[in-house]
Amino acid sequence: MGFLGCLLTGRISADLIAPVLFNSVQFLIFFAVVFAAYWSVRIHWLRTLLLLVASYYFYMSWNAKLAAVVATSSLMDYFIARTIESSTGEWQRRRLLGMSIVMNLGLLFYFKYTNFFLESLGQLLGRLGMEHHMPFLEVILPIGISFYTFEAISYTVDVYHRHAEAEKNPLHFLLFITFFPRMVAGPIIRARNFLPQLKRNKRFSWARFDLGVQYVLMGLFKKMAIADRMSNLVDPVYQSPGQYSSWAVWVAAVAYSLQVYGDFSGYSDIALGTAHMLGFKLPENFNMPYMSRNIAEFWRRWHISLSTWLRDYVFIPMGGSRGTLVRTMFTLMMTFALCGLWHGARWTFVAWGAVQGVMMVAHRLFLGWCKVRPKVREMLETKLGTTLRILATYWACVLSFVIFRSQDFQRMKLMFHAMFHFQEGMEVRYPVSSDSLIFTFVLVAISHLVVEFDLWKKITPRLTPLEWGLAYTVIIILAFMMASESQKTFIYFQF
Amino acid sequence: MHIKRGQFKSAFLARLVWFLAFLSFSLLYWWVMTNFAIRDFWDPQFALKRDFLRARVKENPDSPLWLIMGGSRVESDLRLVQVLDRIRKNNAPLIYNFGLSGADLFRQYICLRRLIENGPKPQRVGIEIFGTYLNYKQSNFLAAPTLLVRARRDEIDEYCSFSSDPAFTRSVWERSRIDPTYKYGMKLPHQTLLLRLIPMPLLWRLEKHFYDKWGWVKVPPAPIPKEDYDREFLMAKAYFTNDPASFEVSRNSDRALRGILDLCRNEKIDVFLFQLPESTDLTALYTDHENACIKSYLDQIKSDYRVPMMDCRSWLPDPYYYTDGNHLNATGVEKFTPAFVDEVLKFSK
Repeated sequence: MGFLGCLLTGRISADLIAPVLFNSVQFLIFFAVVFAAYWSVRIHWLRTLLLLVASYYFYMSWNAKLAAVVATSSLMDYFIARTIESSTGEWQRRRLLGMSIVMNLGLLFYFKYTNFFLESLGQLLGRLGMEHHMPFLEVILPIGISFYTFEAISYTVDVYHRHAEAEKNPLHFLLFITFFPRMVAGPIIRARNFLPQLKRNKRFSWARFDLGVQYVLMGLFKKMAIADRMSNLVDPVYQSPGQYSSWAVWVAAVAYSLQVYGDFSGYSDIALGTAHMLGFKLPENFNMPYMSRNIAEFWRRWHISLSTWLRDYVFIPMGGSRGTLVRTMFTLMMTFALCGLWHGARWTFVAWGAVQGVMMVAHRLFLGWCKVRPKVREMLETKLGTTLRILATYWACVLSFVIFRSQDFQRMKLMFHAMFHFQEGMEVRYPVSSDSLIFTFVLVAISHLVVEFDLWKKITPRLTPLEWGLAYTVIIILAFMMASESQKTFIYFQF
Repeated sequence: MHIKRGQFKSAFLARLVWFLAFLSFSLLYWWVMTNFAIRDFWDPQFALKRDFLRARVKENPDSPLWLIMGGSRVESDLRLVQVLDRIRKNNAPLIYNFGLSGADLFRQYICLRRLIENGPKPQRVGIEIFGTYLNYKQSNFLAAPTLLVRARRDEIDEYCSFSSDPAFTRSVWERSRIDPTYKYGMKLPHQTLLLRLIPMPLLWRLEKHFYDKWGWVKVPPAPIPKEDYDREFLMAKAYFTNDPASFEVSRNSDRALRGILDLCRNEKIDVFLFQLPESTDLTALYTDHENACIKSYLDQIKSDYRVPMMDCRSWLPDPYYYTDGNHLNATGVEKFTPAFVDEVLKFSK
């Protein structure tokens, strides 16, 4: 049944109980109820409790049992952080921190990586000609585990380093971990930014509500009109790359760069928008990443909350840029391999992370090389040089995303083979054709340029209510009309 | 217009009012266009094929029109561009692939009736018989909400008469007419639908589709990797396997086929029935009981209506020629099309 069909016919069925997908009528109803209840309650602690109940309901609608796992590990972190703060002995503090990290990473490893490593070990033993009977664990991956695990770790590490105070109110801490707008796919928030917001009593603000609506509309558009639409060009090709022509494979590779951007930044926008409507400010997670002039800048604009987390809690503690060049390169490689593994239990993710690391290292070496060649640097700083650098960075991302998206190395090889050797085969023509890639590409490019050159800030204050109303209508209509036939889950839910 | 602090409430409410006004207008526009202005908005697959067919008829005004009707197997198996030398000669029949995804006998019946009513009217039609479909209690086009939308306003009563749950069929169809986000299902190019809402015929020419001008939909190259074949075959198997013990030709399948044959008899259109090639993997799924049921039913039809039957099931038994055991791959199409057309052309002698 269509989106409006549910509303028009008032048919509230069992499938309306699960609000996990932001781009669903279930979420719309869920959020409307939470929003109305939240702002009609005046008592601060009751509001917090309401948000906590809503957040657990949101998670339990997907899997009730795993919500208990989240609650238990959150409470453990709460008590550990309190004990770390009150402890004076360094050894005890360190031991407690270790306990928290082991618990969080242990849960992450158990749910996300156990089968992956068992399977890999089995394959390795098989290649060595050894008999093996690797067990397979029947576990369900809790959605969002990679996100809230990192948040919990950053919290205890911050408390250990005395960069943040341990939260005294358990309701606040539980809400920090499970706050529903960002629970399942980020952005990864920091306790020192979020917890103070929880303590403040909030007043409804129309300006903020308006901003939230804009974020949500933009997010829905990115998800439905860009990501889901592009997935029609991507999914069949990545499933069987050998059957498609070189053109179709290139189209799929470029389409995936738009899909993954639209999907994840769309989710982040909806998360930011719904949080704004409830009076919370979450960190921006994307900042026009395809305008990056080099790979380091790309990582400052793409999944910002993850890259800053990795910088603060992996790269810098491992030595960062302080040591020798070789040491820095090693640290970079390790950080990005971990970044790849964080994305999922698949060797192609690790390979993708390693490629990102290699590109970062290459960029550093190139920077060093340019330092002693001012003419090259000047050339690169010109408009043409900048444009070429942006294009080079974008295409490096497109190619590396082929590794990221491929289910296995076999398919990845077939993809690259078709991209760089002429191959005859099928084209993707339905439900969308490659023309829609051009349209979507131009749309994303224009949106990047508009924001990059601050045109957005110049245009929006001049818009009349009539023009705003028209813009909202166009966005809504295009989003629903361009949406894919089947509702697709967000890519980053699997991470 | 710059908005100062404190004016946000009224500014936001003004935006909301305009938004609702524009949205209401857009919905009204959509409703009028899709329900009254664009006749085949809800069935663009049919409209595409019919428009191509009209163009071919215009190019060959003197040739008798022969339509090959059926589902996705006809769509993909019959690449007529390979045999243009045989079908574009003087006085040779103009053969056109009118296969439509998922088209069982009910869908073929509805589409044939539309063509007879609005043209172009064929002189001969081939009707695809797919054994496993005969068992279906009701057509997919009556059970699946995404397929029901294809019914025209003046067809819905007939749809209901074929449905095992007429109230459901009618209510789902009515809902589709008031919900702009209703999904169409089955390989429909979205931009086709979008562009059709803009009243500029020039834009329609930009439409992308997946048929060649003779109604063929491109198939995977051969040889298809084995793992791809296995995966596709498993899907086909899950979709097509009947409960062998309860297999029988359903009342609605019989009614649809007899409807086609009666229609053709009244309109003086020659008919032949045909069964398309199946791989040994697929034929192995039929039990003796199923084969006997299908055979005795088709024998009965042949004797009742005196229609010829082309049984091509065993023409290409090797799974090498298929993508999933019942849709041919490029090599299979290359072998099958000329042989099929040669056989069909014998009807003109």
